[in-house]
Amino acid sequence: MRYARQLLELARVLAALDAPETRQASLRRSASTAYYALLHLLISEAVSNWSSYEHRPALARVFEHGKIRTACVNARAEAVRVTKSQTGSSEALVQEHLRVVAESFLRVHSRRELADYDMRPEWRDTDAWDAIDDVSNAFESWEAIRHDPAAQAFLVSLFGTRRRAE
Amino acid sequence: MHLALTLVEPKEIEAAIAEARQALGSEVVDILYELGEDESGDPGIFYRIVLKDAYSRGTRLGEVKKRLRAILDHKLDQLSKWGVIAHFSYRNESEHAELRNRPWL
Repeated sequence: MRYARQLLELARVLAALDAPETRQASLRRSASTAYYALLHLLISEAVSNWSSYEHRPALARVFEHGKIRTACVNARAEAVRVTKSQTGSSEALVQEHLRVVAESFLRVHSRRELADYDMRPEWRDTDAWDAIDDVSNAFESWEAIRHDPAAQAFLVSLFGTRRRAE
Repeated sequence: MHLALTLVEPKEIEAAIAEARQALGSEVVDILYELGEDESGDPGIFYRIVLKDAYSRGTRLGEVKKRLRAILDHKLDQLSKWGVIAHFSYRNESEHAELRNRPWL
């Protein structure tokens, strides 16, 4: 998790680097770095469950951006369902935090695609700080629920596991 | 147009936006929106929020975003049930004056 936090701090440095001027390189790199902060948070949390420390780097390389995105789409849908049907319950509270994590990932994933691959839009400070804020919220929410079974199940889903046939 | 988007009543959206603007007062300069599909083809409502410069970074940005989303998500609860996903983009007043008609992220 330390590396993930360093990336988030780096994103803040990049966003503020040229202020009050704006440079596309700094702002785009900032948003992209914020995305990688959240990506590495989730991956490091998942592999930290693997007891063999020396094999964790290899396990971390199994993760794919697209599969994590899909897992977040599913997690958000489930979170919306639970929070609406079980309002006020402890499970709903956990799911609300999961929703924050999943939605933040989806937003910054989309932003990162724009930042790194689409040169058309012009980035401004607020675009970078918005991405940083989303990731900061995700870090806070994750911290609140990381040991909960639902959060651990979410980590497993990041592998892109298939449901078994009924 | 995605089927879910045909169910959306513009008057309800505009009423929710009016409530959000009143609740947030001087922090928010303008709230615009568009209905459409996101990059995955899912239906979405795309909010474009113009903020006062002082509220466009750090904890102030975070607080405005939370309050705005809470109001709009609550008032437009039906949209999420139909699978219409809310997307938010922000600019501060100075940025918007400079970028004006240029595409939002």
